Amino acid sequence: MFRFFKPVWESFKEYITLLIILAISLVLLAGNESAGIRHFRTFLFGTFATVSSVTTGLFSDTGIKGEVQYLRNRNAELMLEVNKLRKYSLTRQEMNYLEKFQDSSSYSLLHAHIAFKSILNSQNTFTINRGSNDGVKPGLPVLTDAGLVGIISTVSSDFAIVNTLKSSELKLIVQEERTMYQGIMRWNGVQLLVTNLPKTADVRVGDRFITSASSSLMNAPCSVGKVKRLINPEQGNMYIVELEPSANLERINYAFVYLNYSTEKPFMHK
Amino acid sequence: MLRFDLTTLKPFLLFIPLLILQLTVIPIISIEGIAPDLSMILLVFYTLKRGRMWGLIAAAIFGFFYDMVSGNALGSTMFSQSIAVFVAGLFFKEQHSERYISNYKFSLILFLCAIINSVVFTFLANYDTSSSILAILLRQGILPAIYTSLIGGIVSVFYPKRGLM
Repeated sequence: MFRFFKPVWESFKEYITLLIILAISLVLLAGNESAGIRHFRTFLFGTFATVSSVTTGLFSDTGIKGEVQYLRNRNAELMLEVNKLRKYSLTRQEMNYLEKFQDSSSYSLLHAHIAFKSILNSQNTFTINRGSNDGVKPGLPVLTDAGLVGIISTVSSDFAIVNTLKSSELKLIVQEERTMYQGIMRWNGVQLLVTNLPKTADVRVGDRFITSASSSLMNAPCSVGKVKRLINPEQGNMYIVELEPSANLERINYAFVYLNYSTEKPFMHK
Repeated sequence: MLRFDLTTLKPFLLFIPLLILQLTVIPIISIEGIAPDLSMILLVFYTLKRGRMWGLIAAAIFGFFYDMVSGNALGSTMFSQSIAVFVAGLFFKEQHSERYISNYKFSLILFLCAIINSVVFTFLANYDTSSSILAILLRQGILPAIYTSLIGGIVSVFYPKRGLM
């Protein structure tokens, strides 16, 4: 038996090794969400993030000024507030909702520094220096004063990984701010798209998309992006729209974790 | 044949600081989200120096670790890097390992491997029918590969003729 396999191995060992590695990769891809792998990943990336945070400090802005941090925080709060007011203003024009509007401007935003970014290979993920010790949980939205950045996917005690808008893992219900039509936002590896928008929707270049109240991931109104172009104006029953993200994902160094999105539902009319 | 001694371990020891650089410094020098892939440079370099078998095992380990710490789907980078390194291994000549490293050929091989790595990854991790293959090839394949091969070119220019690596 061994005598038979030895010459085969000698002749094709590199091909056999490649096949074994590819098979292992596919098995890992299939079992990506299993509890064991998630725990191992949390441990490994937590350890790595702790070690590399020393280096990160060398390349980030030295010493965050308290005032800057406060202003960033305030900007993000105001962005959420403005979005909410804008949405209610539009709603009032159509449905006279304003008397039911209850101010709930106490947003709980947790300031976070982006420890490192993975921007290779069409999948953008960030690691932030906040973890379960700060109350961060998987599924919480992350935003800046410009708009939504992504959703927390993995959390260790001191760090968390954010699936940004430019990650195929993140799919979000969004709505066109002016017409209120809803679609599904996703990253296709090259473009940020909104699909499933009916052709009856009057969508124009420059229109703004915000997160939808019916989204289970982010139900407070937060800017996602502006329409860059309509991909299929003449084809199909549904529009496919390309968005320009509101937040500049390439340049941001800080973000906020929106801690109270699930407990406070600003869109629920009482 | 694979031999495990300190020289074999050197690239693995280099990988950790390189990964930290990749995740902390490279985003700063990225242009419109297009960034060079340092681990690809390391892998192609050592594959041309030590052979395809070595490169495959290193690609699997590096890819696995990168997926773990970056939040990518586990196995995706491992898959794409292994295929890219396998192609790089086709250029390996045992007696003439320097032939492709210390000149422009290194950049060309790196360019080819970086395209293969990026395109395979994109198709594996997030391909859907709305994606234009040409756009994927250009945005995720050719542009980052040009950047990677430029950085790789610098490595080959400063490559010491004897010993050190």
